[in-house]
Amino acid sequence: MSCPDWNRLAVLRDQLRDQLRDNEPEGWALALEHLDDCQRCRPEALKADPLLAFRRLPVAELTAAAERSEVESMRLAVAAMRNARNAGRLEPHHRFAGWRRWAAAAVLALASLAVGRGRTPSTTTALTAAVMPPAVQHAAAVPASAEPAAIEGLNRPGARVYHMDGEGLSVFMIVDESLDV
Amino acid sequence: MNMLELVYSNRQPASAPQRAPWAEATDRDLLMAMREGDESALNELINRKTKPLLHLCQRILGGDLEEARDIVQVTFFKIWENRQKFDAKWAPNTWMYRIASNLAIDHLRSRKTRERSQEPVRQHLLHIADGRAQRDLSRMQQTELGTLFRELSANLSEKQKLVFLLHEIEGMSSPEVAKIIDSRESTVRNHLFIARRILREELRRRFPEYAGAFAKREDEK
Repeated sequence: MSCPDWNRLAVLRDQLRDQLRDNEPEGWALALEHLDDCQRCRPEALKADPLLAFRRLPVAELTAAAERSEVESMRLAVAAMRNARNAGRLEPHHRFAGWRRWAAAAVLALASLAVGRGRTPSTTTALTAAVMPPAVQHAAAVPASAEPAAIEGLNRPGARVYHMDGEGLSVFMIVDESLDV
Repeated sequence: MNMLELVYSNRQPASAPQRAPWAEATDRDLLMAMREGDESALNELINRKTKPLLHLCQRILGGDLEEARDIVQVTFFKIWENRQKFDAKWAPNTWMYRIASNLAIDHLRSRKTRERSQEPVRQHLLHIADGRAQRDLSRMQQTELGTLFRELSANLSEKQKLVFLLHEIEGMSSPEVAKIIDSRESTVRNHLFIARRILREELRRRFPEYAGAFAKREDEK
């Protein structure tokens, strides 16, 4: 195919768009295919409509072998996600991620409170071994005291829940050093 | 016949090579089979749609292949998870592209939030890059075009950008795009009109040597 008359095609196309019509001028699809491979008429095409430059937006140019490999790794990844969902691991993972953020926030809040008020966490209620929500609810029922008080031992050694009562504010913080924050 | 020959002959199909079971199935057939829980249909769908969905997501995300892979992976997972919701009356491509483009747009939003804190640094780097960039639009490398589009499309809304990519680059019709973005055709045409105008004006400003023909047409209107 010889290089198309880009200016004529662009004018026709603009006219169709002005008439709110969706169809393309005759020969437009072939002209675009030609443009993808022809560097000679690219400047003329872009002068007629510079937006045609964006037809060359970067995408992965995959050889047949690379595409097969891409498809295979996609299959494996999707299968892994489905297996995780079937085993019920996907949602707990998200919940776990949430708790990780809570633990990080708790450490920061605790440090800032301790520095700001010149108090240490031990002057409030420090509770041991709990990261699960029921334990937190249980902790809320325990009155604040001057000494750290263990509520109950759970199955996460090293995890602690702090309960700090302020003016109109009650803060629970969960710290588990075993979590990867 | 010795043992080796026997084993070999047992491994060969008795007749001509078998055709792949889904070779003649349409995308709709695959989705309907998936509704019945057929995992091989999902594998065939992955086989057919990985490349086009990767390209779509890469374009929406500004060329990042790794991010596009993640989005496409979640797209297939969502297609499987929501397979019961697929209606045979729907166009399969429209349904799949809708899932993928929604995920990509969500990802862009979260990326924008992350990038906001780095904005001054980004602007400085863009300023430096602008001075060094290839100034001839027709000779730009694909990566440069990707960067240029990312910069210019920052002036578009998410819908305008998506409509431009689906219609102008992916070559979809307005009705198809309307179904993907869940809007009316007239809205799609409106988004497209605005997107083209904004992008053209910006290109005209940056590359005045390419403004000639289309600028003349604009002036004549």
